[in-house]
Amino acid sequence: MTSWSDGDAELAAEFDAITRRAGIEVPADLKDGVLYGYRGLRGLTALLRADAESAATESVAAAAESPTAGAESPSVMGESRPAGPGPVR
Amino acid sequence: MSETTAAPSATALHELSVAEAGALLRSGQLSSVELTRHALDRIARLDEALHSFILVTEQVALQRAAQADRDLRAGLDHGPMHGIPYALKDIIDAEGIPTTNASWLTVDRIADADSAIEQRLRAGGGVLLGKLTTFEFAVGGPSFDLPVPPARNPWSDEHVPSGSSSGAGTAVAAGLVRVAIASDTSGSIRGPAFHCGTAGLKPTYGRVSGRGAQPLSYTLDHFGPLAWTVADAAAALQVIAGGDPADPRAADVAVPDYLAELKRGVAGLRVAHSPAWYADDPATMPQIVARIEQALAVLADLGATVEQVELGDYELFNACGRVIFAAEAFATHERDLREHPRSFGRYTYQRVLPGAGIGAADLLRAYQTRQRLTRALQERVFDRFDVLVTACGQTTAARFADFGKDWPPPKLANDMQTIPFSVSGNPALSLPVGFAADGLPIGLQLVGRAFDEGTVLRTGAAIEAALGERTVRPDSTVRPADQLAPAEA
Repeated sequence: MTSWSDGDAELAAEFDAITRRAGIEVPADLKDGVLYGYRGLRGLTALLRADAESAATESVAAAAESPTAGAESPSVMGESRPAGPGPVR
Repeated sequence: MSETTAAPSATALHELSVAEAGALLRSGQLSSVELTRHALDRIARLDEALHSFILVTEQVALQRAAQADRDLRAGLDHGPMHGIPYALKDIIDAEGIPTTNASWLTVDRIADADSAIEQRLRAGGGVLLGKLTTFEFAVGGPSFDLPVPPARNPWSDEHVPSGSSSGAGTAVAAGLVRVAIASDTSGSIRGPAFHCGTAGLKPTYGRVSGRGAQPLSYTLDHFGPLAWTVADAAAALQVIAGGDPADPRAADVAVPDYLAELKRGVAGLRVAHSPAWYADDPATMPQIVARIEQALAVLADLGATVEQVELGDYELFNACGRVIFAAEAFATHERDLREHPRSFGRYTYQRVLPGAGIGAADLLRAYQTRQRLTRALQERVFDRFDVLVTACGQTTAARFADFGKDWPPPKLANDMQTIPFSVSGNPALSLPVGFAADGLPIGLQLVGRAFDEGTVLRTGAAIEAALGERTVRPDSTVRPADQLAPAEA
């Protein structure tokens, strides 16, 4: 496992604050693995955020170019799931 | 069994398919008690080394087998699993029997009611052989700090059977049980099926009720069969599929006759394949790519049309699935993480706690991305094709020695390609297609439209029949656990 470096101290402090707020005390000997996982998740959420911003931009551009611009368009925020695969709620 | 009948000898009873055993039961040439005793004998002989069962319910099994025999003699036939032994991953409840989740937290818990899955199998005349080894709470493993040892891969005791349905993969591949029912949140049925050389079906999300099964990730948990053949999996799905008013996730969608579907063949089927996710990746074993190409050629020879498609960005599917998994798994275990941190195995704790850091905005964004990816998958693939062929895993099983004290293991490649269809909820089958140069099993993944498990199963059955790999079993002389070099743990 990649060891936890000093450069990650800010991320460690951030996660400490989260767990403290949740009333969770992380045993010291388990911390490195937990922080490794948290660092990985931060990378994944950043990827999703960037993709969402890109999708929103594309959606706005598509709406502007559409002959029906101004009508309701399928933005990411407003889209409804069509019939097809996907979790059934 | 009468000595004058043509029924197989006792040593081959575990090689009878569910349909073959059922036919012999119905004709009176075989009794469920004989079939069950044979399975119990094999478990007693082989499982000391394999560790695939946490609990063998011998008494329950023999009682149910006797009842199944009495019912058939009285003309009562409860369906395709009547009189057939099966086993449950030990996160699925059976009334009066422990569900340990392989965890110190629940090691003494006795289920006070049947899960929906067990209810259906029991009503369907099935014979419960016992509870199968799992990674702790279907997430943390392989671990040596749990109440039970990890299951061993029956093809090589130095290797992990994958997880989290580790016992299910091992037990089915070793011929201890023909059918196991397990859970799959990001690949926990398909991974062990791939690495142990069995069929493993993750049905559509909601196709099988999760009532009475330990949750992990509420919107990613799927339940389905691991079985020696595709037809065996179809028989089990026939019994466990269907709506459940007590589980809002379970979909009230008609359940077709899966065994009839298997006979339809693949002529005229429109098959998509997408090599970009695996064939261009140097981490993928060349034998896997070659076997997928061979399977596609088989389908084309049988009259299917095969066309290449683009599936989109794998990393987005992966990120979406892992963020949802992390947040929901943390929600499931939050209280125990706070109150009993030392009762979790190290891997479980280190895998689940990071989800505390997923905020509402990030989780909502992941759900939105999931909708978009699912819609794109529908448009790119399933609006035009009946089934998608892709990789399931990219390498053969990992070694126990690859796993250290803490998660994640240093050498573990992110080599499974199962999570995209956990995210989308489509049915996905892990199908064995032979062996790599190291002698370990490899497979491929077949994906279908939502609630169209029938097409996935019949495509799998066609490939399975053409490749003819299902007669090869692992060597049953796995070394006892105390003769193995200890893994790093």
